[in-house]
Amino acid sequence: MLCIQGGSIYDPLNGKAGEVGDIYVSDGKIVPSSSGARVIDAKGLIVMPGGVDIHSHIAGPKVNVGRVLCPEDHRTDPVPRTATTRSGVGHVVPSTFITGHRYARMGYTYVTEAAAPPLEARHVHEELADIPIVDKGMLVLMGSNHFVLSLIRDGEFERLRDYVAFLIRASGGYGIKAVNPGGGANWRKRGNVNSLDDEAVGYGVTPREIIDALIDVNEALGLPHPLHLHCNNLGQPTSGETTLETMALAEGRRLHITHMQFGAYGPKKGRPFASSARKLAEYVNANPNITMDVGQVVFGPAVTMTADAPLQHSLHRLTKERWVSKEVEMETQSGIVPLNYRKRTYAGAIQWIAGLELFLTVENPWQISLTTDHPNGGPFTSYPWVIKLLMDRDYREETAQTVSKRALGSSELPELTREYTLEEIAIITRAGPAKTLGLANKGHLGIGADADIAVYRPNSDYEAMFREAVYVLKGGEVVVREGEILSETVGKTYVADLEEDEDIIEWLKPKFSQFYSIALENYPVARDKFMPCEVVPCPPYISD
Amino acid sequence: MAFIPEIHAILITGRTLRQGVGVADGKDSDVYKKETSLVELSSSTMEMLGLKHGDSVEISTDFGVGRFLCRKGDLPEGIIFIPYGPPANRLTRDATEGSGMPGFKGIPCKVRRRKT
Amino acid sequence: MRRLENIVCSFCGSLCDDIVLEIEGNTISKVRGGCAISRSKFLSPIDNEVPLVDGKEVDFSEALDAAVEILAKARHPLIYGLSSAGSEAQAAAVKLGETLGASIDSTSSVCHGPGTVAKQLVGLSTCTLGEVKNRADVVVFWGCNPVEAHPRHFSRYSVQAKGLNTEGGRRDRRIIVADVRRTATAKAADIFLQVEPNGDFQVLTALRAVLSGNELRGDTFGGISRDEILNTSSVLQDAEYGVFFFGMGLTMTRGTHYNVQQALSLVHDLNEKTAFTVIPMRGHGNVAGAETVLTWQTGYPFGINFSRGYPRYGPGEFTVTDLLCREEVDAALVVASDPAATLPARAGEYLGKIPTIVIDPNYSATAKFARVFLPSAPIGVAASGTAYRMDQVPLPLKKVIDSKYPTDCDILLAIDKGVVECFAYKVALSMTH
Repeated sequence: MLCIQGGSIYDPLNGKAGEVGDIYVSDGKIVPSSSGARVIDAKGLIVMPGGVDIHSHIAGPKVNVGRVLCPEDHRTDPVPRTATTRSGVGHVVPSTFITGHRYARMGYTYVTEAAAPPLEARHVHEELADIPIVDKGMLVLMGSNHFVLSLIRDGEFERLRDYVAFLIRASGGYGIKAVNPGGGANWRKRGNVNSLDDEAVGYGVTPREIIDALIDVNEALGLPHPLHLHCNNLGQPTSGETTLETMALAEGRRLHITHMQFGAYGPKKGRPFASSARKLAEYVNANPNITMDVGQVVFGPAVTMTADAPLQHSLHRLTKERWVSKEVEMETQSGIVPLNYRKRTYAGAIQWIAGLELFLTVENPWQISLTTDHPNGGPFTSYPWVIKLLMDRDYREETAQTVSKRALGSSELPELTREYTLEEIAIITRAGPAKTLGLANKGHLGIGADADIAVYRPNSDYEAMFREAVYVLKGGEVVVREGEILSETVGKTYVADLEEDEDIIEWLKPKFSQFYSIALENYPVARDKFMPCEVVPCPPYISD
Repeated sequence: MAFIPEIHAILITGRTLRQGVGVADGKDSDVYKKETSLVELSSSTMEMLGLKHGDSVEISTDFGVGRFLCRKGDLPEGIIFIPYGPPANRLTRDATEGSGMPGFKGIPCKVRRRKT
Repeated sequence: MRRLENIVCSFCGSLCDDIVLEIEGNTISKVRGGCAISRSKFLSPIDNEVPLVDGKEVDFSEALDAAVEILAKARHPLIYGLSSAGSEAQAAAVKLGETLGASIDSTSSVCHGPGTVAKQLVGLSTCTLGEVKNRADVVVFWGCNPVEAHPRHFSRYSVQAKGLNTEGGRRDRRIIVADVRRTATAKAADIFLQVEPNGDFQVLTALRAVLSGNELRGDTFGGISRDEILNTSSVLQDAEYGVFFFGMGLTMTRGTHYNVQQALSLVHDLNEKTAFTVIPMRGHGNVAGAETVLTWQTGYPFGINFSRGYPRYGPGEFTVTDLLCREEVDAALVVASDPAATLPARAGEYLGKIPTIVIDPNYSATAKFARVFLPSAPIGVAASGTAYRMDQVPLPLKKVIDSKYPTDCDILLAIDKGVVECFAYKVALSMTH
């Protein structure tokens, strides 16, 4: 038994905003107070639940190709082995061990891998197993899946629901991810869908219909997390309108818009490319069914990687940078392009501004999560810098003076005076994302919660404060002390608990052998291979 | 003892189905040993050297020398082919020119007939 | 008799996963569905070897101790091979390499390594083999010979295979083969480009020039006539969905990664006009996995050195042929590979001059002069694991019979443990003096 004694506790879910108290830990859980505990003195320190990342790219085929692609970046950040930790490389796309270390050092204890193709899910899990300390979950790509699109076209809702459940189960997934829905079908002919009502060629369905159906399926399956959506038209100068329309089509149903910043542009003050964050924030403020994460851009090198293959091809054309693209049979596609966000360029500054405007104008912190869409907007190790920008208005204004003047002039950022409180930071980095992910035992410090705890030393430089935790407990074990990794513990992988359904396998069998290049029997990832995993219950189907 | 005539050629090494079977069977298997000590020559090269199927030839490069039994292959004139294996490796270029990759293909060589 | 279906054959990079095995007792008695190589692989008897130290039979643990001693004493050991091991063993090899401060390299450096370097320069537009089966109407085989090296590639994926948009199979496809030799693969081609030795870069450059609207000056390019270049380029552009497979004919000839860079750039160019992808025709069953695992653990795909305690990348520097020919390493651990039979002779022979340890299910050419030979359970037969197909699709390898020997993964972990104990003892010893 352990007691974290005398710290200022920030536990927003349980209504604690800095009150001094003790947290007791036993068998990996938070427990009621008792005697005889070993004491960790936290007087004068800040105690929060472990950080929860709702959207990041840390494992799997495209992340790994991103690593292959950037030896010149790894070379800037070698990490030697120590008596207790493995070696590797860091910076923009860190190797697996270093990914675990660096999340843990910042006080993060749960990370969502946001995009896995089912056919390559085994690869994702092999990498997740090599990311130490933190717990993980994986979202399964479905927005351009052949069978998903075909079943929507045929109006076969129940079969669609069962097929989606099969995909999540077979992949060892946690939830549904859709990226530029329908776009992948057209990318096969090097085209795209450019609005919610464009047709996916060969299927006769539109992004609107795909999103609508996947929201319904998500709710019918009772998945813990809402549909996790990367909107159509992302990155385009008019993306803001599409994002607005997309949110509207949810009509009150739960929907998570990921890295909204990349879809928050529109013309303004005579400029064709500017931030439309304010409009989107107003919609979010009026519609509690919507949650979102930001995808903040950070200046410096990044590697963009997404299932939005047409977007990546256009980025390659624009920058002439290295371009990796991959089509995965029947399921999805992806693109990878290294990038450097420069503060002096108009476009780079607009993206940075749009992210900050979202942070500062979305009013309810429970609806918004901090992400950089790692490594798309920049590495996750920049979260402390983003926190500083949010908490320290002077620093933010100083930094704004260093970016493109034209971009700043077209924005509302200079008028936004809001400063985040520590409590609000605790919400957007742990309590909120945990709630949106449906992780009942994460993101708070109530009795029965996982003993995933971060202890920080207060510092007026918030970046320094959040860069290295004083203590991190994962599952009740002290894994970080003064920013040092003490132990490379094994994190769990969270999977959604969906029932096995024989009928859908019978239906799939003949089609699978016709169109796939592997046998159906070799498709599902055996759960035991990636133990320990945590099975998260889904409420029973909602019947009509 | 006249080892004539001698010709200059380009050596390519590569995989064959029987070599693959040999790898699966084991490096000591007959199929592997036999396949990796063969050289394929074009029919015109064989004629020029006065060779028939199964005759022995000596092949030399800047890196080594070896003896091989010849068989006819569908090759352009001036190119010879030897399946991957230890005998071929005596002839390939071991310098990688900073790439990590030795020269397994496109190596200048000399082929001459051995007295049988 | 047991009958097992959908078994993966891990011999070559095609990883056919439709093999049917019949097993009597602890012996595979029948193989259905596989190619000639696959039949040989599954029907080869296992556990035929014994642990050896200096050519003498010893207990397994004695051989293990000898291996630990060699590696713990070495100043710069090399770990090499890995392409016929499962991803778990590959990860264990990285761990050991890190403990030892070793150089670690896979057979990639002497097969598709230059392709990976080319990818680092320009990127790669690729797809899985099911996309080839479902969509490809133009298929290029450049410097590769699947008919002999990947015998079922044509029927399962690339030529006769029938899928979503290719119900006609072979009839729906145009096949282009570029090679120096008129190989068995070339004989199946609609267009055969007989390239001069070392002429690939020229041919690819001419194709790129035509595609970007330039006029060709000259009559032949790397042995290919102007007309053939023009004709080929129009077939490529007219593809609905084209796929370009390349092999050692590009990576092993003069120019190595520059050849591949030109091929990858050609495919980039084609994507301005139509959909086109490229897939390296990987040889060994899990050589793709070796690059994959090394990359996620270290950031780099092959040619890695741990002497500073962190991974450094150096093709040409930390790659096997260079380390051996320059005589830079003083011990070697060879895992599931046979460098004495596959590297240039000088490199192979150096392995006989230093203490070499071989972990392999079969007694290999390298094992003949190795100081220590540790037989292991063959992966995909008597050991389970994961292998990555040439298109990076991961597949499960199953254990179907029992071996009396441990897996290569377990052997590597045991060596690592032994070495860690040795080092700890050394430290303790130095503190008492």
